[in-house]
Amino acid sequence: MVYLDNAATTWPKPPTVIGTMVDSLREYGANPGRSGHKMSLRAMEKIYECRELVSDFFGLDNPGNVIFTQNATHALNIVIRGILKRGDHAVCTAMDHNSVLRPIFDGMENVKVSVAKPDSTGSLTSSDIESLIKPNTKLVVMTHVSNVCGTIMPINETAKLCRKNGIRFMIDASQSAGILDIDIKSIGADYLAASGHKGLYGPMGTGILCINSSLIPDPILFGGTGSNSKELFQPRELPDRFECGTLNLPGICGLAEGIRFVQGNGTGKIYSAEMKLTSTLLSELSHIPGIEIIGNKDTSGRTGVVSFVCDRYSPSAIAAYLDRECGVAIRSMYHCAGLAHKYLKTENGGTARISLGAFNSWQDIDVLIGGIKKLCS
Amino acid sequence: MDYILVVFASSTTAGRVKALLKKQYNIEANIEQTPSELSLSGCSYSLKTNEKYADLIWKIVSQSGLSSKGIYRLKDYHKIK
Repeated sequence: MVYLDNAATTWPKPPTVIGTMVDSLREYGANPGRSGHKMSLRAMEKIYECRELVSDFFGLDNPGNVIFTQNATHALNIVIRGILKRGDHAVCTAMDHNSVLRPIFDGMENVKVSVAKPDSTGSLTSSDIESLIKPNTKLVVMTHVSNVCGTIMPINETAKLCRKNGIRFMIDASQSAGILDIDIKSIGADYLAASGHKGLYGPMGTGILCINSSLIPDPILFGGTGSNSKELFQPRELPDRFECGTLNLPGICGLAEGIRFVQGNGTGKIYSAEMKLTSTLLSELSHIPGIEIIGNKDTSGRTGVVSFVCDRYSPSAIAAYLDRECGVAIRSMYHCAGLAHKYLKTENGGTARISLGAFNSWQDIDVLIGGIKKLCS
Repeated sequence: MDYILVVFASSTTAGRVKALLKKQYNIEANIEQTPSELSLSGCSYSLKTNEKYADLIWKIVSQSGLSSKGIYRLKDYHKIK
């Protein structure tokens, strides 16, 4: 199979990730931070090592400010639902994923939300955010990279703008962590959510929330933390406040190994390699009659997430053909980002999306392009 | 050797102080589950180390903005800090 759906989840995973997960279950698979026996303590210390690694990777000083979550959606929900209160105003963008849009809109009638509108390439500037700021704006949430068309958003400028106005800023780094360098302190963001299973090459079922703010959200999930058990209230101390229930030990160990894989290669090298493939991909697609690239037509201001439409076939028909006839895996339709398609003018059927990863090669691009050319001929 | 238990509410804080002690002072400390006699609000974890480091550890905890539930002598659970 030619796997070009890395924006959904990266595949394959590095062998060391799988090996570490198996080792954790086999050699120290006790519940971390719950019991006093050697295996539980070993599991607990392994989790701490992973937390330290994540903290260093994203530029935090304190590993306690790293919260392990089920996924980036969970991390986004913690901040959005835990920070915003009645009468607050929030800003997000039309390029955001439903993991931002749904928690910020659904059941939040007492919070006003403004949505920054991109241009037809899915691009935004910090001025687009600035024009929406009100005296009661409490939180700005922005995706770092669009999962539809790979556009890189102005997070540094937006962070600066938020700091100037005393507004908290959250980055959804689901599509950028492990691909672009992210130092939450240097950027000046307050919160960062990341998927463990995309650019960080960890397993599904893992995510990260980094907190770089004095404003700690209220918890949205309550339960056992292995600490202060006699108290009926969720602990105030991090990370316990947001980590209740048994942690995903094999997942977190696998995530840490995925980060080691990224560090071993270097995010710069990974991005550069993906951009070389993307450049060829964009060039080849642009020469196929009837194919239109959605978003930036070249490699500037983007990552290796490429969406396109065809004048003769729907995106879902293209994806089905490539899967059935060519053994190529891509994603089609709306990519859980409904608002984006209004501005990208792809509301009718969405897009066919190709998303590259560290294990893709020139041969993969050749097979893909060959398949699309055959379909469109 | 006389040991102390530095009690923390969070196992992560215990891990952090353990790492700090090792990296900056080359002091070994082990994480253990806090005995029930010292776990006044329920389950917690402690760092077990040599009693001679009690003042240093208390200074580290205070200066790092971390919180500890106290330092106790292991042999009689007498509270030192």
